[in-house]
Amino acid sequence: MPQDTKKVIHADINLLPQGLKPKKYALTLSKNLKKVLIIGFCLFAILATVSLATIFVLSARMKSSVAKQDDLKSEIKNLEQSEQKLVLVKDRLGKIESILKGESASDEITTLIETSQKIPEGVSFKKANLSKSSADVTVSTANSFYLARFLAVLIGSGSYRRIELLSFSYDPKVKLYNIEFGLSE
Amino acid sequence: MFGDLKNLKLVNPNLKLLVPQASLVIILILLFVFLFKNGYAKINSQFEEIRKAKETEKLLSEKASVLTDVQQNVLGYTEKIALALPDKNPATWVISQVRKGVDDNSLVLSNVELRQLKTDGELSNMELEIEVKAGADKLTNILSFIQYLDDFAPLTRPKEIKIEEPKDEEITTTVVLVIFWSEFPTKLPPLNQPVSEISFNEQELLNRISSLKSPEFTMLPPQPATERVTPFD
Repeated sequence: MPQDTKKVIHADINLLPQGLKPKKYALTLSKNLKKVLIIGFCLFAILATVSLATIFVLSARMKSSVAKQDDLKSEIKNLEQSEQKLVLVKDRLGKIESILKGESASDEITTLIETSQKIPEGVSFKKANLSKSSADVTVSTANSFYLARFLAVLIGSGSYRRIELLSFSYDPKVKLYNIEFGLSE
Repeated sequence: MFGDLKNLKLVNPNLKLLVPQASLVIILILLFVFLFKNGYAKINSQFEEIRKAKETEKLLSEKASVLTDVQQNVLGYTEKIALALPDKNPATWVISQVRKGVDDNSLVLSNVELRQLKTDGELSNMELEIEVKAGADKLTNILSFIQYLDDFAPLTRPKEIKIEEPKDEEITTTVVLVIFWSEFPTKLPPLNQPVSEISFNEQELLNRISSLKSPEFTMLPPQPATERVTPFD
């Protein structure tokens, strides 16, 4: 029997009942599912490979970073003496700064020195009392003209924030004017 | 044979075709969920770890560089600064400095008094009251002495200065100085904590502190052993 005739017989003769044959929609769906499965598995394989490669690369990077950190740590350990000194210097500087910012009569020393340099002839320094934020200076003079000149020098210098006349007296025994100023720069 | 046909009829041919494929789709979805949950999370956590590691690396590198620079720039100041604010009560050094100022200005030190020990946080302080006398014509010397008080190490702060009216051709000056000291730090910061460089203001303060006059320490030269004639001497 020729081959073609055999095929025709096979195609034409179906002994199975038609109810056992899948429906057309099922065949289409199956075809599509097959495609989805192939694409999905390929995609999964690609993603899994990329993920594994990424994890491997990142692990290597992490290892090199840790090694670098260890090197730096040992370098810092070797510089421990410098660190100790730096910590000491920083600690002292912070505390010294707070001391210098605290209340003192330090600025008033400058005020007193500058004022003493401005005392003109005919006026003499008598006493001074320096405390935080105030320099009280007492001068004496025999002539009110000198006093006026001294005041003019003080005011004219422009270096004082406050010039306060605290007391003014005349001692007839020694014939001297005593003037007490409260000065601050 | 009829029995088999009966069985075949019972199973829907559509289901027979689709169920295995649908199962595979479910498996594929589960695999994707697994990959996303583990792979993505792992990669994310690794990225985070690397970011942190890089930060630590940068910090350590900066710290090492600061410490190397500091070695050259700042470390010469440590002695000066430790002398300006020592860890123990520097009253004896201060008195010695005051004495030097008194001598240099030809004054007479008539009274020295230490009082009031206070601790303000990490700083301890004490008051030193000094009284100096000078001839009525030595006002300039007194002023120079007062100026000197702000210019020596250990660091002191003048609290009160009183120049009295001359009596019997003599001026009495009373000065109250505050002396400070503080314990040295005992702990180093953790290894991965950053250290900052010396700022411009700190450098200026360092220069100012290092210009303070240091006390003169007398070093006794080592003496050679002498021969003892009598061993009980």
